[in-house]
Amino acid sequence: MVLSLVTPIGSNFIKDFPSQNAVNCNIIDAYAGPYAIQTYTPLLTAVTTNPVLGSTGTITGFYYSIFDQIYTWGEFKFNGTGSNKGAGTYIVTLPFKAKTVFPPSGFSGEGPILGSGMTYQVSSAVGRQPITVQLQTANTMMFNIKADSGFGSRAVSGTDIPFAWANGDGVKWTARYQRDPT
Amino acid sequence: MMGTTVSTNLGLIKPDSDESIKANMPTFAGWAAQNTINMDKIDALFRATTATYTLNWTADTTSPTLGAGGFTEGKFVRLWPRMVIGFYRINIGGAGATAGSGTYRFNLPVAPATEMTLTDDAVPIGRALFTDSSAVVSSSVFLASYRPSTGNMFFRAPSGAAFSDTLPVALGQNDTLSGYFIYPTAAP
Repeated sequence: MVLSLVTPIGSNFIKDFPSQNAVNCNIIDAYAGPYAIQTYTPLLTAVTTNPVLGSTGTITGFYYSIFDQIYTWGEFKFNGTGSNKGAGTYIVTLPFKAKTVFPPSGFSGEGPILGSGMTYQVSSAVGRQPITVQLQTANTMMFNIKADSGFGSRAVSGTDIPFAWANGDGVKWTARYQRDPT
Repeated sequence: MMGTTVSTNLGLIKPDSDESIKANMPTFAGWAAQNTINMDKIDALFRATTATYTLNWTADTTSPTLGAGGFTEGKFVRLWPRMVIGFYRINIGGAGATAGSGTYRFNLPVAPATEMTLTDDAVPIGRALFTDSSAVVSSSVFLASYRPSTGNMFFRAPSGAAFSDTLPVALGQNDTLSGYFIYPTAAP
């Protein structure tokens, strides 16, 4: 990333300096980003049928930006009446568009890995399994879990992978990526 | 009208035309001092410090004991203002090593941000490799998680079990654990 800071020169240095300094300060300020941790509301969908979190289900997202690097974490959890696990690979939105130097992919294991996380099954520790976070599109992520057999990985999905989703179950994640300013 | 405004995030000082040419006075800092403040803020933004820290290995019930030749070590990089990237290693050691009991805990070098809180008391922050010195097949990759209620890090094996004296396997002499974590800290 190029900041394009203004460098005042010449006979108009004194006259031009205040406005040029203000431009520079604003550029650096925007690049640095806020110190504070920010929140956002991720959107959970699925490839085949969108899930419904339920009347007391939750989805939460946080992020911290340091320059153009985004560190984000969050979770979703089914709960309450009306919850429905949906069908197909779960997809969750990122706080900002990601650069796609490595092409994203909706196929498990083909896209860049942004971080890690876990599935959380409230009824059994067996369902609290590590996952990887994969860039699914420039704006979304998906989750991979070790296959039950063989050597591959597969996507966490509403189609009972890795378990039959019930109230209290969900996914937690942490991801890091470079923001695309466009 | 003379005066200054400040940028949103860093509070960088932006003097207007009149303010910018005022000299330093006893009651007024002047641009020279204001510029110094700006430079120091920008400089602080790009700081990176590296350090070692004492990695403490404890457990929910009874803390384990390192055996002969055993050691723990931790190192971290802090990218100011709020990012920490750390690495750690444990060698259980030989004679005299005891596994303790309960889920193992490990301290972090800098307190995570208070927003690092999710339900069920676990926030993923990294990965680790557990090596079983007596049975390679029992070696495993763990998920490292931060537990806000205790302020510590703990691990989950692919089976879902939390790393303890008995899970995913009974801890043995000369087993090792090494990994990394990344997380934002509290506001400086």
